[in-house]
Amino acid sequence: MKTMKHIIWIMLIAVISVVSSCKPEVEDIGPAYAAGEGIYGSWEIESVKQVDLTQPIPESKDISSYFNSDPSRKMQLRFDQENNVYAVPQLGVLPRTFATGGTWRFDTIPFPTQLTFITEANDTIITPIRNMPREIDRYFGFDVTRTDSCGTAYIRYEYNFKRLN
Amino acid sequence: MKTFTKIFSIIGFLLVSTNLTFGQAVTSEPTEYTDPTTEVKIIVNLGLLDQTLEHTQLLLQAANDGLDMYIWTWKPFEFPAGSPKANGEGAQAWKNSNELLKMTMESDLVYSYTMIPTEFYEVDAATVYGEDIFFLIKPKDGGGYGDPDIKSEDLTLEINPPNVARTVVYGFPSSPLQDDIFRIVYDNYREDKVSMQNLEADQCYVFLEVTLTDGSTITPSGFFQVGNNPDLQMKLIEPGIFEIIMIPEVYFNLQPGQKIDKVKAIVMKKNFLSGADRVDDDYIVDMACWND
Repeated sequence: MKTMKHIIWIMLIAVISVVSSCKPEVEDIGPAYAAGEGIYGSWEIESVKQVDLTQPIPESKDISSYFNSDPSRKMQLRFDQENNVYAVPQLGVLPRTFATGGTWRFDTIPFPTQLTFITEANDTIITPIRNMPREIDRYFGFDVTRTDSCGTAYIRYEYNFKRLN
Repeated sequence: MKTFTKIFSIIGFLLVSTNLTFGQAVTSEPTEYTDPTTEVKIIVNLGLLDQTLEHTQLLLQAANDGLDMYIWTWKPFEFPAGSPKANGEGAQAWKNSNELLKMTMESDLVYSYTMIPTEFYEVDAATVYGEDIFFLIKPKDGGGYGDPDIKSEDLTLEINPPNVARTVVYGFPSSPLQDDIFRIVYDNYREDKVSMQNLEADQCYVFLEVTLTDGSTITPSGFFQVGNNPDLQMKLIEPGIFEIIMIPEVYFNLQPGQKIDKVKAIVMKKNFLSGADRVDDDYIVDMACWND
């Protein structure tokens, strides 16, 4: 009986030591940052996908090769922190959705899900963000859904940008 | 050899008779239902189910006893317990079907349930096309928990998109604005016209003509000069597939205020000599209503 008790005690101690040794060490996760802060700076189109929303099953096509074959076709966007101004230094060959510049804003700070552009012509374009850019992130994207004159959404552009600086 | 023939005949007969017996248990109104954003009546004839199954026999008995019938569905989406649209309520959901899912008795042993799939399941049309509608029929108390089940076998209503088979020349997107990126694609692999088959990489060109809303037209090159204009060459992007890609208002150098009514494209060989050197059908995309 005593032997059994010894065994149980030894097993208990072994289990406790194993469990405690598995406890992960919490390391410093670094300074906090506001989501979306990494958007400031210049970005160049890296890939574009079109989704035809008029099809019974929306069909998509990656048209990135059209841009990658000629750098002058790539649109560039610059987001400034001051006055939340954006500019399109290079229009590239894409729908002139963003005109040549305007202002921008996130929908809900500090956890934005949408990026709103207001062009110089006062057009408003609301774009769901594909990923939240941090300062360390090199890629960032958003979607633009276009509507026809009847208000029917007929196509979605899925833009992905690469950070220039 | 004769024995094999007999065996195949018997198998064939069984397959046919099985299909005749069970194939039409599920139908719909409209019969050719292709748009899951519109209403559909799912109709089940219990008399056409497999009556060799015990649970089906019990289901028929329940129907003959005048019990109400309920739909129990799990695809394209199954609402979880507690949801207003859950299949059943309470701790023993199978024994207590949701009143929302009660079917309408159409005639003896024929029941229906009417819904708009995208609204009922709260999914998009693509999900309905991909998953179809899976369901079974049962009385409010489906037995179980030690008792034999009272239910149909699993049933399916297939929902497929309308036939949108492409022509050999097509556009993407199918309905562009004049400032969209627009591809015109020629699928030479599917070309039926013998004289146009197996085009070499440098032999595919396209005649383009834009009609503006004021009735005027723009053509980058006349019909017989197309092969001399490198901007009208279609690029081979994969074996048998040629494309030309553009933003129409940029490509055709439109002036502010000019609106495209339609774009016509005729794929042809670089050296156009006769009707044998072009595709049979013009491809025309209408942009008028999009540019208003």
